Amino acid sequence: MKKKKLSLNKVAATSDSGIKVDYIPSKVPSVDNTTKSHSGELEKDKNNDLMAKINKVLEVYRKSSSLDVGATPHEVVKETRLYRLLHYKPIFDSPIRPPILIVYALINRSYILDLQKDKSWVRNLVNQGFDVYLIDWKPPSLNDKYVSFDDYVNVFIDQCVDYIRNNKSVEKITLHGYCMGATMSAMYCSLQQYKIKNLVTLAPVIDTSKDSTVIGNFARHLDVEKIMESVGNMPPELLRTCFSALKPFKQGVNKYYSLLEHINDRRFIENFLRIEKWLYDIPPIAGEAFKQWIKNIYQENLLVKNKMKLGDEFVNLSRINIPLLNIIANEDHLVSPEGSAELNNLVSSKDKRIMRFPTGHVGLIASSYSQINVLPKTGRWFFLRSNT
Amino acid sequence: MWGMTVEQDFNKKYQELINSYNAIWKDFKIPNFNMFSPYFQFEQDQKQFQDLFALFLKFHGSIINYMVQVNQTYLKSIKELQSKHPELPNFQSEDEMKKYKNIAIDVFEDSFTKLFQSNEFSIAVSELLSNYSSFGKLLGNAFNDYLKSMNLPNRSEIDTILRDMQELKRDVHRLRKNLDLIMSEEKEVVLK
Repeated sequence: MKKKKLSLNKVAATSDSGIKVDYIPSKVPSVDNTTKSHSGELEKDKNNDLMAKINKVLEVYRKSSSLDVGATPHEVVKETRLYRLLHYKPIFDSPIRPPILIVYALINRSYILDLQKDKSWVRNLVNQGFDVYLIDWKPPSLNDKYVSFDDYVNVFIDQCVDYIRNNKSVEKITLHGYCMGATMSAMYCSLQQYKIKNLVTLAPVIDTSKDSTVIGNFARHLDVEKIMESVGNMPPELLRTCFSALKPFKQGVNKYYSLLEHINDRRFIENFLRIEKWLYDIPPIAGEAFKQWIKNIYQENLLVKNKMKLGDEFVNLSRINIPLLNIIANEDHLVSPEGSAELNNLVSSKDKRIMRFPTGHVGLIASSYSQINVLPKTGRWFFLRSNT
Repeated sequence: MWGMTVEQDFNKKYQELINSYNAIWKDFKIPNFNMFSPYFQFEQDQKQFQDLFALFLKFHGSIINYMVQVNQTYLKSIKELQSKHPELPNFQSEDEMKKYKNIAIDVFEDSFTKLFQSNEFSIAVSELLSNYSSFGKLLGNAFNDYLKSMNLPNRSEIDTILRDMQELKRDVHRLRKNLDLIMSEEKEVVLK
């Protein structure tokens, strides 16, 4: 049987993914038409095929910056130097009340919650009929290095909560946080509970003595005072280095191999690139807030001891007695599931529940799995505690 | 064990270097009343230079410690991979390559995750970052001298302003809230 020979130009012309390959590196192995041996021919075909794939990967990476993220229709209803409050357009004229305010983490960007149409946490909640708001934190400059958790919790979150309460004429709203945002939401509830009806946390960092993750290990030994004194804000490069130590081969190396394998699958490539874009889109973290995060939470575990001080007040999680839903990913390698689960033991709420799912930290909010398994259950929990 | 030996060896050499460096300056027999002599600034500069030198050596030591741990883990992984898959795969066979790749990834993942979760490694990373930060601090100190000579505020003075501004912003927020509360209470009284 005669083997089909592939030249790079031919691949470019017949590409079914619509990506035009116009970059040909100098070391492309040429197809030798005079080759006689069958095995030699096979090997050359393979080489050409591999080079074509590599070229496609390069092309795809070049186009990655133009990928759209955060596409669910929304408007910016409030904007300050350090945050934007987004309001997602409800699908009903009178959406389910109370409104939900999502508090995102200070790490990476909030569009992970609205990464793409079929994997969007926000869009799913909107489609279930809820009125959704999101705090999109803006990168702090060096002028903001003294912005602390006191500001994030008692000023910024409080401003957003008040805005929604006034704008929607409601006394209470639902607070819904992810990762560090979930921790901040719990802090806020312990201090300003009278404005909140329900608290829903996704992978919150609470009891760090139970944290067995790589991040937890680094955080426990970091001389954060000294580093922040020198750099001001936590630089993105340093955060990126920490994240690259998480599943360095299974995710760090294997994913590029998978990309090469699925290079003709446009859907796979787009998913891959959106996640990559998010992974490498790391803003700095305000120095003072980062210092508190590492020192007070990871090294001294003050949240569990009710000794974390914001402004003049101590955060006492036992003051929380509103309905609580704590959603945890069992395979979370960023936030220890055991540490997150402790929140339910610390609060005084009678109506409290833990939902555990066999997925990872990002899979919990931005995956097909979460659309099918996590969001319907979460939505039902919200609905049962709504005002309708 | 090799890492420890290198570190101990390094610390010893480092101490010897510092001692010999100090000995050179002792030989100059700079007068003790240098507060009132032209040597005062010279001694200050010399101290800064000495600090930088010591820091550089420390930084070098922490890089060695870090690299030793990473390389040892790499060698351990290679050894384990060889024991699990003694022969190289047939590169022509896609299935065999895939199998080999999966084993390799599992082995490396396991070894490096163990390393990253170990106390020794996180201490090494912390030392590395901490020493690196000290460079920034020393450079900052040097710049502060320039700023001072130009009659400009230095970093710590700017930091004080930034800290005060942040506190003022918090105070304004609290005052506004209290004012809103008082006004809403007054409104209620008027309505009643």
